[in-house]
Amino acid sequence: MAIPPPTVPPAKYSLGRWIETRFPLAAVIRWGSVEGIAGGSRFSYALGSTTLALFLLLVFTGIWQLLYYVPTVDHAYTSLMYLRLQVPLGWLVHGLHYWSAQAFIVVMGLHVLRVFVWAAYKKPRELIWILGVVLLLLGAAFIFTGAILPWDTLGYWAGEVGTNMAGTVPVIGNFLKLLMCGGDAMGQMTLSRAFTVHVAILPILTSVCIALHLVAFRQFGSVGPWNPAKRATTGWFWPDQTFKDLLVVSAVVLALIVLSAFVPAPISGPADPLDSAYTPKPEWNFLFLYEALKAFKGRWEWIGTMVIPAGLVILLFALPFIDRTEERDPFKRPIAMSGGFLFVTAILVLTFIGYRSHSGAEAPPTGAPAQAARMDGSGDHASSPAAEATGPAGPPVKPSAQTPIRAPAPPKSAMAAVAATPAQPGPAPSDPSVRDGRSLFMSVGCIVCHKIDGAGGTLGPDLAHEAQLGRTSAWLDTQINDPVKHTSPTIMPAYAKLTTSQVQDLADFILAVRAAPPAPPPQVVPGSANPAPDAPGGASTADAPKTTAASSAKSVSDGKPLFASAGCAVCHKIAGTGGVLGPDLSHEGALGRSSQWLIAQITDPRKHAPLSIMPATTTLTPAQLASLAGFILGATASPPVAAAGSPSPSPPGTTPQVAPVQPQKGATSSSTLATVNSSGTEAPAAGALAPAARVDSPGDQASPSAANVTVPADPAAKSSPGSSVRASERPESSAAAVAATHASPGPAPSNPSVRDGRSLFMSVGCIVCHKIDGAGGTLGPDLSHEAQLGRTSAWLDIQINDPVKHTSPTIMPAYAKLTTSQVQDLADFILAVRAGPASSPVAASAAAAPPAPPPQAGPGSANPAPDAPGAASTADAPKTTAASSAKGVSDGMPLFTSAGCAVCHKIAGIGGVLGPDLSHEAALGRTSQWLMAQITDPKKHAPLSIMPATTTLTPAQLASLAGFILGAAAPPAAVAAGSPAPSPTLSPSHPGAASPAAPVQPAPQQRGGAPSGSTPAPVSHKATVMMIGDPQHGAILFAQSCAQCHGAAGVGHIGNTGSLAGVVSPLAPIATTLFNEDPVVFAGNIDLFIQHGATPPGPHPALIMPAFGDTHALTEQMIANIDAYVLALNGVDEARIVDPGITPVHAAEGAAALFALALAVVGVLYLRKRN
Amino acid sequence: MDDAPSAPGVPDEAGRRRFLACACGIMAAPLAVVTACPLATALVGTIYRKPALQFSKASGFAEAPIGQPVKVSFTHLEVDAYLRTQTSDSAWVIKQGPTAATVFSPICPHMGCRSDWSPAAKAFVCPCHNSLFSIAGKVVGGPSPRSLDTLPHKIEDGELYIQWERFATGITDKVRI
Repeated sequence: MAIPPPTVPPAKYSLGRWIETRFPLAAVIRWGSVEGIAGGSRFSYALGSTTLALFLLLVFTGIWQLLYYVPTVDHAYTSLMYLRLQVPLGWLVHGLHYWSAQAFIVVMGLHVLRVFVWAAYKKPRELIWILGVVLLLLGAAFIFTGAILPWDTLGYWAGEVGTNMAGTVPVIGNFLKLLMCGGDAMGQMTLSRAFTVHVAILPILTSVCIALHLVAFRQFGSVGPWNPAKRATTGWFWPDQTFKDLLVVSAVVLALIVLSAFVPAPISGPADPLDSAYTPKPEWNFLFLYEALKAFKGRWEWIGTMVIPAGLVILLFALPFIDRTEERDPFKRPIAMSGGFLFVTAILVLTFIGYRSHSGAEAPPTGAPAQAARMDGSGDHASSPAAEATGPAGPPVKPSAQTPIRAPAPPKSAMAAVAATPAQPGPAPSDPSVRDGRSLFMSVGCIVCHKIDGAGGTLGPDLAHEAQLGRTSAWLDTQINDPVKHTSPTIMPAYAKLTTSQVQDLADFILAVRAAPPAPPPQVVPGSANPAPDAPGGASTADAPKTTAASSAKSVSDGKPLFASAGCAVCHKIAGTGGVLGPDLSHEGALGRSSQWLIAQITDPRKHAPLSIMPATTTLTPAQLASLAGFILGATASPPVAAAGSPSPSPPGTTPQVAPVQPQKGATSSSTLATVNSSGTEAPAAGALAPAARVDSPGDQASPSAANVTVPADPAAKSSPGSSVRASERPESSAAAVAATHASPGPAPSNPSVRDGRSLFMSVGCIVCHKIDGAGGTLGPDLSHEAQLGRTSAWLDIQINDPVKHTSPTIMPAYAKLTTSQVQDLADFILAVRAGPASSPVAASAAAAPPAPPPQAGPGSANPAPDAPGAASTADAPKTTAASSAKGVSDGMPLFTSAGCAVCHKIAGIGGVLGPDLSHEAALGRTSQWLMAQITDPKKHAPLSIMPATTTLTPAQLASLAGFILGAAAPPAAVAAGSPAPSPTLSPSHPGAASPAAPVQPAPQQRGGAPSGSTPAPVSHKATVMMIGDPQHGAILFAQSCAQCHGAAGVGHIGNTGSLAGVVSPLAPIATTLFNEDPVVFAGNIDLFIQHGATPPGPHPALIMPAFGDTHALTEQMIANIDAYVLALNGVDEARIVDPGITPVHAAEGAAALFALALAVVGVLYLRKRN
Repeated sequence: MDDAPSAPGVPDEAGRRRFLACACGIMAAPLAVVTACPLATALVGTIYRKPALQFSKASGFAEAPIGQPVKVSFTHLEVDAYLRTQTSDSAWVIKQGPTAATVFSPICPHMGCRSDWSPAAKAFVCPCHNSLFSIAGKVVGGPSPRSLDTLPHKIEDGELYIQWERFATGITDKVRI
């Protein structure tokens, strides 16, 4: 029995009648509602209507977003964040839009599947199907263009990936890419085009297609069941199918609201093309294509980017013409069904794989392709995987051809820079988990602080031996996620946001690395009590002492005062007190050190780490050494893991009578103190400083006392730089390596004043920066010749108390707090030292003032040449080429600091991390010419370089600098014998300022942390548009750019001599004057500092904050990310919804309640009707 | 919408349709509400907002002499929806003591030029149309319709905090804009 169709009653009211006579309203309603459905209405038929409903929702939420969103590169991100955080229910509008878009694709896909199974594409419905496929493509285009609009990092990179994919199409690829980008690179034009397409062109096309699709559909109506028996009844669209549609739509919309409330629409930090920390992947709906493309590399790319997608689309369009049978029963259409099944499965599987793939797995970290561009444009970096890079993860991008100028990730970050050093951590391993871990190790930023397998930073310990140290995967898991659980405090940030599989991969990689075995133990003379191996990480119990507990206890208690009196505490913390220049010694036992090792470290640190700046202490007796070692080891806690069979973590020391050990036969000459090192053999990688050592007076003789105590030779330790777990930690925090062998400044003098001065020289810390009599640091001039230079005690007094009076600016802190007698002792000591005559005057000149010409104001001394530290090197032009070249190179070292290079570049262990480590330039094959070109015009080599051009150095200075960087043994080509008068133009605003060319900005003075100054800042209306940054990414940037002064995670405790506070101010917790609960104000406060830098109050602070914004060392987006991170450290969530209107939870609850209520009412009505 | 009579033996088609039509209406209601609510709220939610006020620390107050107008500068955050700008600005401060001060806006109420203190004239002088203001801010010459606008401020721990505001020019009333 056929159910009659619904009828449209005639208009009852006059308005209806008025319209009806002028407009076929009833006919329209009839057309819309009266549709016969063979076999009756079904829920599975609701998918099409749901897709339409979602489209309408997208249109409305999209239009509403236009009230707030601005499609410009500088405001897109901020305006969207404003909508998300500050507009009441803005989060919901945006969330609905995002989730509706995702649902749109999914529901549309299900609809297509349903239509396919019902064979509703067959004649006469081919046109409906074709229009449907068009709608599918339009949907994909919507998602692609929509992702770009927020102009956040992920969206930006998704756009990059997509346009690059378009670019690989043969013949017209380049045109397509230019068309999509609106230019040769992603930028404002790209955003405008994406916006126009997304907001105007696509909606119009889609609306038209939907209308056509519906009309075509209504022509024939729903296809109905394939089983003739089930087609007997006829249902009607209104109200049966309508009701089912509404139920499905309600369920979907409720799900979208719940999703919007609990899973905020994802957004990453503001887009920054210069930022290399992100590895891009396309939107999820393109993942299958992205994954499939990986199979096509090089010449065959175009198959992946054009042939396959085109083929799939053509297949879809052609389906009604390929399958022409009239059979509709899916069980009787095996070919169609299996084909369809394969199609869907392939896409699903590829999507899944693409989702899971690590961006770094097959392609190198994004820094790598740009490395090839940076090096010297020729991609000569053979060891880098960039050579066969497919560009940023996935879709092929030929770095050299496709992205010559706009390489996605120029090496601005230290991460990329460190990865650029010749040693990548080992070759790409085969095990995928280990390989992923290796990529992660670089991309997440571990490599910035940790060395592994020969490459990496040295802020944290070398991780090349974790397996040997007995670490387990679980231990590493905890260490990565929450390092504080193992070591508190620690400067290692907690990488808690990594996924479990990422952490697992990292752990696998770290444990898989097996570097060369640690150094063989120093052989001890027979008679010593401890013949066992001394390897770090080896069993510390092997050195089980044979002494009684009593004697060891006593010796340990002697060790504690020794730790202070011998000067250890100046540089090393132990059990919470001490200096920060050297590593904290509280964990030596846990690290598996033995007494032997420590004694060796104390008496000749360069045995373990050739670049160590630790002065060798050779004046202690063996008993004292044993006490000291015992004390240090006694300060340890239990080791976190069991080293192989070592129960006792703290051997209290060796027997009191350790015989002096003799040098190992066959050891290289440098191991004995008796030999003056005048060759470069001692200084391996620190070649840069070998010349300084050479220039140093060859007349320096071994101090008599040095002959008594020699240290066990350890040739293997030198040859494998990564061998010692702790060795790489040591030379990190202070002046350049000391290459000479002389360890202690002369014998203990007899004159008490001089002797006191000598002790002071070490304990006060002069020795850290100044060499004297063969030992000490090289940041400041060698003080062995002060008497010869004609200094007086009074002069030294002034120099120590207030160095600025002599040289302005200078980085030497003012030791104004010393007593008069202390200063007198120091002066006595300094003047008492008489080394052999210098072959050239003080070579290691002060790092601050450049070779100053006489007219330059500042040093108001009457002696032109020898007075100003460093000026001597110009005035006393040496006569020989070798000396001049050596002098030239030694001039380079102070220039490296005074010209500001050290702010950004590390060399031989010290310097900043903003730019690449320059310790390996010679190994990289750089020439002096290349370096000089790089210094004077960095953009010549890398057009996107942020390195400032230094044009104020003379050719001689440039040559010196280049020579120093290369550590050249041969004279640099450009050094003239007898350097000309230097130009007076070099004038850094502060020592160590980011750029010598930067004008001196009155940076906000930091007084108690708040920006204010005695002279008001100029009225500069510089607009600082602050974007809400990404704290996760800010963490990486912070570790690269800020942690060296502010401590990891902003904990502070980094010393700043010369400042009133004495330490660099911590950022977590931050000064209360800067803290503000309102993220906008808070971020604004700290933004000032990052933009304009700051000088801490104090006589002459050693550390001054650079102006990262003014000098463009960091981009605005990077600064925004760092702001967000610092806020997060202080518990302020910059991305929290300020004005939710209705909070997400309540909104979800309310929506659920509403729908539940409606369902309940319907249910009640139904029950009433039944009864 | 439907009024086909039900034949005997045939299930109540009309009744069923009526019920379903009713149910459609009931189900459509929450849909309409959950869609309209965010749209309406997002449309009107921000229009009644007043800008947040903030006090900015001014430099140089501690060293300022008493009774003498001193120009202090400060940076403040201007917020316009999602546009945030750090601008530096200055104000005239006459310190009466460590905890008392008068703060004048440098903007002349006549037409918005910046006025300057002239020690010779012992008055604030606006260079545009020669409005003169005494040290107390009162108009002593020139076309300014009202005296110098004072700015809200507070002194904490010896430091001066100023709240930057702007006022309509050319009128006698001090109206904040």
